[in-house]
Amino acid sequence: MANPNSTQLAAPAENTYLRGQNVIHRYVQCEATAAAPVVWSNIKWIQSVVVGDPTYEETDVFMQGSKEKTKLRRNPVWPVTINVLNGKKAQVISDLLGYAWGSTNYVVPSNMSNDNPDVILESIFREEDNTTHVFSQVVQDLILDDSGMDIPMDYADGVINGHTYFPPFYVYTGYEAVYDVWDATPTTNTYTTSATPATAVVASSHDFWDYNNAAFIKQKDNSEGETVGNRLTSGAAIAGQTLTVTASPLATDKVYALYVKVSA
Amino acid sequence: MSVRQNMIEEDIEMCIYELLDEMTEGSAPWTRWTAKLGYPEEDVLKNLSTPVIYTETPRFIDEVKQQGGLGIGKYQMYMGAWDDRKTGGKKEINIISSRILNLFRNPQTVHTTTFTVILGATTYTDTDLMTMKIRIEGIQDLGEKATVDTKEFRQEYRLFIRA
Repeated sequence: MANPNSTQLAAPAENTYLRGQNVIHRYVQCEATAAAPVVWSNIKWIQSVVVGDPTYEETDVFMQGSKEKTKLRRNPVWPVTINVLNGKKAQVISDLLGYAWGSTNYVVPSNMSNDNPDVILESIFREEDNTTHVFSQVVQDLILDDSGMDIPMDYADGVINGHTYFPPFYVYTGYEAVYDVWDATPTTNTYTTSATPATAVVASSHDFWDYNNAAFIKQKDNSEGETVGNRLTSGAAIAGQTLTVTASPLATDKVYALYVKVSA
Repeated sequence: MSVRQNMIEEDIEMCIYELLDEMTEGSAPWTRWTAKLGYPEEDVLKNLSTPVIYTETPRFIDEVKQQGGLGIGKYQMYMGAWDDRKTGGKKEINIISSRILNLFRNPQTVHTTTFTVILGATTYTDTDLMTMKIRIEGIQDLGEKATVDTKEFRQEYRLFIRA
């Protein structure tokens, strides 16, 4: 019998074989002081960032009179592990929590106070020249977890555990994540994004995505005692560089948007 | 633009050599040294008034494989530095060694420093290792090599290359 397919694939391009050594990681605080854009901070001392497979609450739903069942999958959680050079574990935890380690904060706890999102983490994959962008990985709404403290005899990585309830996503070559945060102006429904968002994904064909050109749009309503921004699944839109929220925010409210743009 | 897969070992060595040659034509202390393609014979070495940085032919050692097709080659290439001026001290060879390590350990510098190279009938002007599709994965200092005269100093390195 003749070989059904005698194609011999060409060798992969050099940038298909990447090392974590050439990845640079950076973050922004989820509850950053208002700025459009919020400036990213690079993280040194990283040994690896591991985003595990998500786990779900799964339920089988039966109906009387039927043999068939429906499987429901809800509430995904993606575990995230950040390995750092041990000597800088406290510094990195402090930085991610927004503490000024060594200047106004001299203690960082090993347990976390709440389940609120702490940072957005962007990992930028480059080629061997530490310059040419290949793609990026964004972990949105990363929440740091309580951690143990391990002091082995020999060199070891410091381990920082976390999780996110929202899917990490990849960003195309030549694009980068942007995080804009505004102090809301009363009765002002429109805000100007710092860059023109690129179309991210067709929201209607993906779970968890509500907007084609934003990973999320959040609003924090201080009159309701909210301490963090909450995702809007409707009543918001970005057209060009104009973000419009339907519910008029109050003076102390905040509006947030995470999207991607073409890199300069 | 890239190295030729059917001339890969020669092309890699030519590119690395031209990079080193470009460095020795740049600024001090590199300008105190001479780059040589291949391990210099002793009579050649005797006629040189400067320490030498030499390259040797890279050798294929492994492959980044994919199912159903060709892979990306991985190579190991020896290079070295030789100071036979018999000045009586190791200071200069130590400086050469430090500069070589600093060059090849800096991903941005080593992959984007420009040089001109002729591969076959084609001249690539102001190109760099990235453009020629050569990736330096690492360098290993192999230490001192024995010399006939104890007043000469020789140091060797192993480069890990993907192309």
